[in-house]
Amino acid sequence: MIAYKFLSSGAIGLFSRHAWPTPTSDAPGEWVRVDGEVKECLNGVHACAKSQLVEWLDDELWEIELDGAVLEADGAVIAPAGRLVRRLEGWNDECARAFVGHCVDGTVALAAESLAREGRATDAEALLASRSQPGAELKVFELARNLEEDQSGPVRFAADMARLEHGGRPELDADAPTAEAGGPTPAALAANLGFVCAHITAQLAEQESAGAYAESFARERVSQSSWLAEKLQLEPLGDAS
Amino acid sequence: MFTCRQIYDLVTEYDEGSLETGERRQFEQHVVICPPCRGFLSQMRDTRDRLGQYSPPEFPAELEDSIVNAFRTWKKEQQ
Repeated sequence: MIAYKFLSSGAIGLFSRHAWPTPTSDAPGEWVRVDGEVKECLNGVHACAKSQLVEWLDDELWEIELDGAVLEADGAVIAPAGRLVRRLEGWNDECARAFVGHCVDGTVALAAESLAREGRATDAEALLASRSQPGAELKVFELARNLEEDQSGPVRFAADMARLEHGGRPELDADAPTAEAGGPTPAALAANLGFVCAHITAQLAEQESAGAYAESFARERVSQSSWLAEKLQLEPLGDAS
Repeated sequence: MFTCRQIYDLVTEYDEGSLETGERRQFEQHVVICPPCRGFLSQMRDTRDRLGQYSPPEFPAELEDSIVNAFRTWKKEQQ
């Protein structure tokens, strides 16, 4: 079975810290096998299907061949053995930033729609315009401050999002360090923003219809994975669809 | 999903493998999407690795006992 695996820079597992054997120009990487029973999050080669990509975003994306009985878990596929087949070079810093832009644009549009439905067309237009102007983050913050009494809060969420998009923290004034200075990598930011945008989307859905959060969140995450798979032109491979 | 505070509290148990599957999943789901907790996990592991390379000098048993007792007394006072 072919699946996908995100790894930190240098083909290192984020959690296992395992240094994966990488492919050569004419052969896949060496097989990595585990002893004992395969257990989710504890033992086994963990990978993901296309629909689960955004759950595991990291610096490098690899196509991985799994061997043996594959356990399908919530958000992952796990096998007793796996080997890296090839690195998917399309997932890089530029693509991570494009993913963030895609998520943020979609979420800002939803937040603006929410404002418009509340009869606040001017605020909605200002929010949308803030995305395409220089200093978008400051404009969104200013808008959020002006709407401090806003109970529904989509603009305040958007202000948080604008700060996160640049690596900052909503509760801190200081700018985030760059990746070179130990700050988050573009992939880590993408993982963060994808989740936050799905959360905001689900919050907006919950406002419209009580109890809609979970379904909306899950749908948004699958939608993000689909966007990424299309962007990376991932082929339907094996069972990893 | 766990909060950042919970990640802080559970990081040692995570690395020791003493969390249950559901807790491990929640821990990892949080760390993937939270850059500061990614950094925290990495720093904790680096620190542990470095300490693992350090060979402490041998202390006299009496000194070790007095340090342990002082720590226990301090911990009781904190509770």
